[in-house]
Amino acid sequence: MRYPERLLKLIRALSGLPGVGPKSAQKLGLHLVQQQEVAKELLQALEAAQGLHTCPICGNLAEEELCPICADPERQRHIICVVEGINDLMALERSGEYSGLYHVLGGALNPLEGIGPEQLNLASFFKRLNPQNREALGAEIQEVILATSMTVEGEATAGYLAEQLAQRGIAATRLAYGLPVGGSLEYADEVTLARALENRRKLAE
Amino acid sequence: MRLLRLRQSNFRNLVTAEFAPGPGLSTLVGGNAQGKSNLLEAIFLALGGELKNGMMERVRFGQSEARLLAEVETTFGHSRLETRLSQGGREVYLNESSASLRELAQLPGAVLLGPDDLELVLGAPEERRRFLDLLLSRFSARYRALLSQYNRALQQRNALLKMGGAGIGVWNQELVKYGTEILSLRRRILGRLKPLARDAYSELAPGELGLELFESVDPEHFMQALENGLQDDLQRGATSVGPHRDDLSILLGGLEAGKYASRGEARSVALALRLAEHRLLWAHHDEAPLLLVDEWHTELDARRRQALLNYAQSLPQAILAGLEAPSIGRMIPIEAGVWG
Repeated sequence: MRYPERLLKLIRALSGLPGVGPKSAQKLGLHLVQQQEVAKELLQALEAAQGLHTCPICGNLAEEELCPICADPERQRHIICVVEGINDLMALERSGEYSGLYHVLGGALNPLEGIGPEQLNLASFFKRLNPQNREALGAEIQEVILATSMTVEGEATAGYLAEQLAQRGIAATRLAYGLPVGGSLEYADEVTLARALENRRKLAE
Repeated sequence: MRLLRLRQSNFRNLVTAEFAPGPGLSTLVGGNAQGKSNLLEAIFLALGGELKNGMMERVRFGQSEARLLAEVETTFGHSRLETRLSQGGREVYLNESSASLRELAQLPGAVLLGPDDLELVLGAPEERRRFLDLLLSRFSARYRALLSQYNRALQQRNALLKMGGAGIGVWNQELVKYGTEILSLRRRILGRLKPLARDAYSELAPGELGLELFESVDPEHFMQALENGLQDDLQRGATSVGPHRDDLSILLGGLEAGKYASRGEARSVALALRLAEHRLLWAHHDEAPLLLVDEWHTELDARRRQALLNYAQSLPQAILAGLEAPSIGRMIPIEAGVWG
C-alpha cells in the first residue's frame, strides 16, 4: 500500500532536512499524523520561528531588531569574531570565554560552489569596519578574530579577510590550532603535532 | 611483517576462502586468468595497499560486498586487518575497530611488483608522480594531509579561473602554503630513494640508474610563477605550475629511460624502483614489508631473475606468481580461483 498523498507530501518535506534520510522521514511523518498533540505544538513552534530574522549588523538570528549579542550593552564593542555559521557562534558562546561581538559570514569562499565574496555576508562587515560608523556602533573596531574553520576553504576565507583588514589597518588574529585539551602527546596525530609545533608560543617569564 | 592467514569472500574470481602462505618464499603457479594476480592484489589491499581503479570492480559480479581479513605478525605482535569493498568504496578495520589507511600505514604492509610497473618508466608523468605520492603517504601522515589539501585548493583555483579569476590571490596563497611543503618533502624522500634505486639496478643489470625531480616550478618562486602565469591559466581554465605538474626523471646512463631504454631495460628499471621502495620501507619500519611479485619471470633474463630471487629469498616472507615456479621455495598451484 502507498502512503496517502498528503502524508507523502509531509514525508518528502521532512526528508529534505539535514541528517534526515528517507527512513527516518517516514517514521517522523507517521508519528506526526498519529500524534495530533505533538503535531499541533510543532506547527505553533514553526509559525513562531517564522518571526525570526537575521541581525542587520552581524548576521546572527534575531527576534528583536538586533540580535541579543549586538543589543547587549555589556559586550566589548571594539572586537569582532568572524565565524562561518551560527552553529560556530553558539560553540564559541558555550566556551564562555569571549565577550566581544560576532560576524556571521553564512559560509566560506568556495568557487566550486559558486561562492565568492559577494555571496557572503560581507557588505555589512565592511560597513562595521568603517571608522565613520563608530558612533552608531558604539566603538571603533580594533581587532578582528578570524574563526573560520580549518578547512582549505576556511583558511582561504581567513586569508582574504586578513588582506582586507590589513588594507584598513585593523589587527587580525587567527584562532590557534594544536593539541586538544586533556590529550596526551603520544596519541596526537602527526599532522596536529606538526601544527602545534609550528604554532608554539613563548611562556610568560 | 608476515601474513599468517588471509580469508576472503567475493573477491573477483577467487573461490578458496583461506590462504596461509607460510614463511619464506612461496610461488603461485597457474595459467592465465586462474586468479594469481587477483590473489596477490587481495593480499596487497588487505595489508593497506592502495591501487588504481574502483573498488566495486573487485567485488565478484552480482555480489554487493567483498571482504578480506588478514592476520599478520609484526614485531609488536599479532594484528587483524579487515577490508570491506563495496559500492560505497573501501572500509578498513584494525583489530576490529574502524581505522583509516593512514593508520594502516603505521605497519610495514606490502610492496606489490607487477607488469603494470612498466608504466612507471614508459607512461605519463602522472604515473611517476603517483608513485612518489603513494610512497610518501606511507611515510608521512602529514604528506597525505597536505596532498589532499593541495588538491582541494587546486580544484577551487581552477573553478575560479573558469569564472574569470577575480580574487584569485587567496587561492594562490593556499596553493603555495601546501605546495611548498609538498615539494620539500618530495626532495627529501628522493634523496633517500636515489642511492637505493641505483644499487638495486646495479644488482640487476649493467648501467647506472639516476633519479631526478623535474619540478615545474622552483618552490621559492612558486607565488611569482602563479602570478606570472595567470593569463595563460585563465585561457586554459587550469593551473599550469605546481607540484601537480611535476615529474620524476628516470635516467639510464644519463639518458631519459622513457625514451631510450629497451623494453627489457625498462622492465629492470621498474623492478629497481619497486625494490628501492621495499628497502626504503624496510629501513623506515625496521621490519621488511611483505614482497609480492606478479609475473616474476616475464621479460627478465636469467641474471635478472636470479637477482630478484636472491632478494626475495633473503626476506622473512615473499610471494611470487607466474606460469612457472623457480627451483627454490614452496609451490602453490592455482586453477580457476582454487588453490591447494
